[in-house]
Amino acid sequence: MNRRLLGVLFLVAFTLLAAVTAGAYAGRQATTTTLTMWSYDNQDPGLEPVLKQLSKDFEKSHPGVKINVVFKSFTDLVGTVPRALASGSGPDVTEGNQGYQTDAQLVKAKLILPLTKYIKKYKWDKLYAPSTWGMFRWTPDGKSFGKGPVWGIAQTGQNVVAFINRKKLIAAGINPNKLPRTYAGWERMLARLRAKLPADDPVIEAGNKSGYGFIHIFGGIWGAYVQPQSVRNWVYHVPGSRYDSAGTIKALGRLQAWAKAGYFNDDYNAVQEDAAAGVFAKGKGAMWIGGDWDSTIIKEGLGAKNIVVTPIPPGPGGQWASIGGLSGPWHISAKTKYPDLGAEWLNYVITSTRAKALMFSQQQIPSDKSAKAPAGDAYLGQVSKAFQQVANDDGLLLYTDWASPSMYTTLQNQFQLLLAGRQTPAGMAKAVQDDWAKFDKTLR
Amino acid sequence: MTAVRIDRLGTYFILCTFSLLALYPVLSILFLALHRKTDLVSGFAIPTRIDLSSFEAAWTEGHFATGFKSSFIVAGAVTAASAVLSIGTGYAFGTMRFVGDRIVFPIILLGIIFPYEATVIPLYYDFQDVPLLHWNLLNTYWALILPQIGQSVAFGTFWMRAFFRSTPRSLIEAARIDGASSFGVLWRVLLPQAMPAVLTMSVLVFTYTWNEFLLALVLVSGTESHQTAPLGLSFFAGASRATDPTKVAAAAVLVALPILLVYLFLQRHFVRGMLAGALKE
Amino acid sequence: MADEGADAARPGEQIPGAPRRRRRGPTRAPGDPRNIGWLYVLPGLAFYVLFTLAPLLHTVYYSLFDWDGLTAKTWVGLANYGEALHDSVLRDSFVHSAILIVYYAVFPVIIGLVLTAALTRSVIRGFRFFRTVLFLPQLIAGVVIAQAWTWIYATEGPLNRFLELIGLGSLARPWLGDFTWALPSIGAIGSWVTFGLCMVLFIAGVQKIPTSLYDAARVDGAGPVREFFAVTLPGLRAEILVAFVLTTINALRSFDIVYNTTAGGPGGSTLVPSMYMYQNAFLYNRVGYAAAIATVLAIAIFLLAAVVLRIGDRGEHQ
Repeated sequence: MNRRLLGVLFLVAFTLLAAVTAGAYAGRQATTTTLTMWSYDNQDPGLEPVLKQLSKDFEKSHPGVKINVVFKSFTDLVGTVPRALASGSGPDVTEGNQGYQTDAQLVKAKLILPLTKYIKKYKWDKLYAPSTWGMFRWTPDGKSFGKGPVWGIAQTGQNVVAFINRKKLIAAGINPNKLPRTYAGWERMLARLRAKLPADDPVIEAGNKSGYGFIHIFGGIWGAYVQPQSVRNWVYHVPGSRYDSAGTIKALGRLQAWAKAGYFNDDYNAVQEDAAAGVFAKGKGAMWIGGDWDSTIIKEGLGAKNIVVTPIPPGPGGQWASIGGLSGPWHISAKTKYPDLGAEWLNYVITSTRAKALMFSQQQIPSDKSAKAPAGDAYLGQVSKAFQQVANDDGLLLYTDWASPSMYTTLQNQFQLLLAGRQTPAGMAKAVQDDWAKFDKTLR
Repeated sequence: MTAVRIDRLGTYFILCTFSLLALYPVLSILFLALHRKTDLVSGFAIPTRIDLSSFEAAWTEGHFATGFKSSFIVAGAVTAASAVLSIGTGYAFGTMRFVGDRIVFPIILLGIIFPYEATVIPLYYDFQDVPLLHWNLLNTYWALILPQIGQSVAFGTFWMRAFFRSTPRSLIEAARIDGASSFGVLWRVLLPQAMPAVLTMSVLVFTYTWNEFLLALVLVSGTESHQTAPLGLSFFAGASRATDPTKVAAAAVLVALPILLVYLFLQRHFVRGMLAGALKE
Repeated sequence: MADEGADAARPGEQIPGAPRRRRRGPTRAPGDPRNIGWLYVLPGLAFYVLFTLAPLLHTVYYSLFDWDGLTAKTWVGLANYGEALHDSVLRDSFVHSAILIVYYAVFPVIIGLVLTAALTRSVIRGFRFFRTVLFLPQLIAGVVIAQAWTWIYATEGPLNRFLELIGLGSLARPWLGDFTWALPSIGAIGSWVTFGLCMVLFIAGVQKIPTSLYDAARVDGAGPVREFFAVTLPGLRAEILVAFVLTTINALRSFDIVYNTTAGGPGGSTLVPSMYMYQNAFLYNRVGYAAAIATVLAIAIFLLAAVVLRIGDRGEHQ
């Protein structure tokens, strides 16, 4: 009886302790104004230290205010944010995702505020080129992408580029200062790397566990075979746009060929994209093709002098292109008690001099087009130049998973099947177009 | 003699092998957790020194103080409430006959094989806007406590009914003859004897409630302040596994620890209770 | 405990000075009709109906609409079910569940029987230790199990290292990222989780089998294997049935582990119905369709339980 009693008391005591703690905790919260921000920009470590530091600065200049930045993985955040905002006890300011899966829902259900008055107040219209604002525009019914008021604002420019291990290039007899300027030359370089590298070292260290790995990698190949504007039109659901064009099918065939030729690591489906960057940073593979938001960990692993950064070069059209755009859009919850304070925080983390300096120090490119990378950091210069090359050629392909609520899963599955040789390029193009068409009907 | 010896050796071999298999996954994350982020861990990862830094990091960065608090409150409340309710229903079904009992009991039994996943959708929308009352109970403890009481009553009723049916009728009759009301019989005669069964049921309900994930994912993921520990672990793993597997392993160990401690402390009652329950049916 | 033997009044009699007993007709003995039972049942039943049965009916209601969960609903009748019938992804998810049933139910029942035989044939030193350890997997949260096994299956994890150690390094692979092996890998996790439950059920059942049956078998010259098939197995019929019902239901539900290991990938090869329902409801904003999936899943679970019990009953009457 004693032991049992003890066990029961154990449980009861814990519960009471917990309840008491809860009470004290709740009491303490009441005296300060707390804003909660959600973000997924903590990849390796990405903007995490920047946002944390900037929030501390903000707290200092706003006594009585506490900023609580919560980091979640991209898939977790995007999967939970609509319900979190709808509950009324969710974040005050949060990243969303451009496109029909997330932002369209948030707009349609009136969960976020249009930013029109804050754009006027803080003169945010100077941050980007007018056409760039398209990715944040929605008509209030959530159906038309690219038109209507602006609902979000992004902190950094983003681009998918190749980070290449300089030493391995030299070992394969390739001059790192004279990389191919055409797509055809690029493919020849890959073949040469495959021939010269040891058999168990991949040419491209890839991570596709969450599904966006190959969505990203594909962009550079795609850009060599299609007009970037046609891709953007398709993402924006301009009537009549198609995914299954001849160029796209050829490009998918090239990606499949890369897999067949053994350019990728065996375990790409079991590794996250950011984890793959970490593995590349530790010396595996000749290159990693992914988002420039992971540039810090690569620099830390290989050393700034040992890295060459470049987008995949253009095809016959001559236009530099890659998957990219701006980072995740920040939104202000429609149910927050402190929208103005939230907007002020956004203004601080996006436009202030201190913010831009901190972003550059983490190898992140501020979205403000007037931001200049500080001289003296050659690596940062490369990353910045890679972004400019594509942005200036109007080659940013955006992110194709924006095109429908289920497009992310469709692309993830189709890419995995394509690369495993279980799906043909034409088959994949059709499956993707079918998803787009089915959703497109609901918009008309 | 040798045949018996081999026979016994074979038996112990089987038992030891499966015991190792049962323990190994738990041991492997424990070993992983005892490393530092900077160690390049691979394979069996038996730690050469004990390093608790990953546990510290996991506890603070994963906000498990909040997670544990939420989990204790929810599991504690569900356990207490369902124990009380199940004692009642078990008592009624186990010692009395009443109109409709033959229909209602199987309906309750259905709850043991119930597909709870199929109920999360309406639970979400009904908690977001409670019918008639128009409250919003999302991201509160109620959202987790109320449905799980309902879910535990099925198992609890089965359990307590089995126990009450096994008590000798003479005991109950004697008390009734002395003028005890139905409640009196329960409180003074049956309950003291029922404590072991109640305790086992409570520990099992506590465990299942502590481990619940989907309900938390759907109903309380909007705010960190009410996240349960398993939900916190899922988010923490999603955000950090790529960069620091030792931290995530430490978090996993932390989440499993309370139940493991209770189990080790009370394991005799766990299994004895399970055997008793199964025997009755 | 009252023990008023000699002083106990006979039914109907009044003891002078004792409080007047209320008489509601003939004195009732327990087990006889006592409608006060409803008073005890009502609170528990209320919670159960309100938070379990009612939501299930509500799910069926939602399945008759096309709804994104945020704006207004549109009535579509049985259209969602029509779509479900032609949905190859849904069909595949049920196939995956059926495969998982083999791992969650069949293997653990067999393993449970083997372990029970080993533990109960003679006095085992450390019986309590073995029983405690073997039951442990049942108590660990699905999320924790997912983390532990993701590590075991990792490219640089213990399983691959072990294979390399015993010379089977060529078999090493990224288990959870492999099209063919991801589902069996998850299945193996399931076997690990449920074998302890089966074992515990069977040990309890074995203790009910009269030793006289074993004695009789031994007299007839049966060895341990014959004993098992002739006495133990038939004696455990009821427990095996219960084990099958519980474990197959587990296989059909399996959300926690799938969500936290592969999330249905790669290429949808580990997608299970509960995961697909979650995706439709909370990621694709197709609540009506998700409700239809949920209803189909619920029907499948109830049907399966009924079938297993039926088979068991029929077996008994043979």
